Amino acid sequence: MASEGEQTVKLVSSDNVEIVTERKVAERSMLIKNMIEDLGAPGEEPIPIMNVSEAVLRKVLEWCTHHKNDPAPSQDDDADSRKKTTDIEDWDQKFMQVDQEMLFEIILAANYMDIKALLDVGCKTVANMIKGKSPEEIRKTFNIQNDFTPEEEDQIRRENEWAEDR
Amino acid sequence: MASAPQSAALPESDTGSPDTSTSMCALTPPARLATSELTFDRASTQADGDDIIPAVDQVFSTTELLEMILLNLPLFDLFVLQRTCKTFRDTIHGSIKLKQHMFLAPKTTKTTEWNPLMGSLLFQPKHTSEDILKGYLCARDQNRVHLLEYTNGISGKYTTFCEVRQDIRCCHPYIDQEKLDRPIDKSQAKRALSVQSTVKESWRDLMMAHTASKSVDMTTTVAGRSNWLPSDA
Repeated sequence: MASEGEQTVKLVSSDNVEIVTERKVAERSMLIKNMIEDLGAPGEEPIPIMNVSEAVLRKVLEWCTHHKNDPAPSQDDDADSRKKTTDIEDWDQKFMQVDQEMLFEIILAANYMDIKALLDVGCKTVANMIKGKSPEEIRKTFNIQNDFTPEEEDQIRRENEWAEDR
Repeated sequence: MASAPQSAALPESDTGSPDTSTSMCALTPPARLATSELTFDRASTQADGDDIIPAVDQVFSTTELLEMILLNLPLFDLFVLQRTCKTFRDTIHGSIKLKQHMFLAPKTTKTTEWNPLMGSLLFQPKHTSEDILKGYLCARDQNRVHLLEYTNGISGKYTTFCEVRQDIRCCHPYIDQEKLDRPIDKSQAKRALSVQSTVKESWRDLMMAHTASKSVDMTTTVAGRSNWLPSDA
């Protein structure tokens, strides 16, 4: 049917908030797309997005709205598209300027909702935060505990010393 | 109400028992899984906030997601940040994609991809005061490239020893032709090779390049067409 884009769907976040959105927007998520196909009657039955809270879901849908007319992702191997780290379009870069917790929530949601392009942008954003940082700085940035013994850490440091300070 | 689960009972690890792997690592996957199941069951009961694992930890403890993030990083970073924590190290060690990205595992590519580390490794070695092998590199198997470089700490000079196939020699952007044309001192090279370092530096496993296979590439061909057997078979 030609009017598919005007249909709406009802999503329910993990904290039980109903969000109505355009079907075309929601179908950027393969999870939702498949659910709609399975349910048959879009718009009537609310679709539970179990692992995503309202705040995150709204944010994700904001991205989906902006990208609703993007061409479908190619099935090609992703290896090449990964190459260019800083290659994030302006709008997406602005979109990703959120606090760290939200950024990682978006990644989790994109993974769960199967939105590959958003997942990719999220991962690239985090990669840019890691890039060029020392392990100490990375630990500090992401609050990661160093769980190596001093001996273990020294061993790894020596194995990779040639790559440090560049 | 039922369970004040094990995690709450964790001792405050100041007792210095390093073998209780209970976790110095903040990113233990079991805890994560348990939590994500629970969060839906009791919807938005914010009761015990300690149970909520920060999203950053959930992402980093999911191997596929951490792999996806790391694949966007330059090679040098990947070697260095293995020291961050066990999760990072284990993810890098366990991922064939990351190892290929780091030129630690072979990959067949459409066109030859040179290891971008080669240039700096070959010609900017860190000199030490000892007379030891500081660097040697060799590409394995189908590349048929053998390349050795070592430093002589006494003279402060380093020598490059190469057997490079003609076509590769021509297209390698980093190899300094002058050095290639020097005669090879095989006995010195052999001696250099026999020196054992106490640590196995990770660059020793580096490959020079991912190559475009000249023979029939089974994987591509099988995917691409049904008659993948050579026609004269």
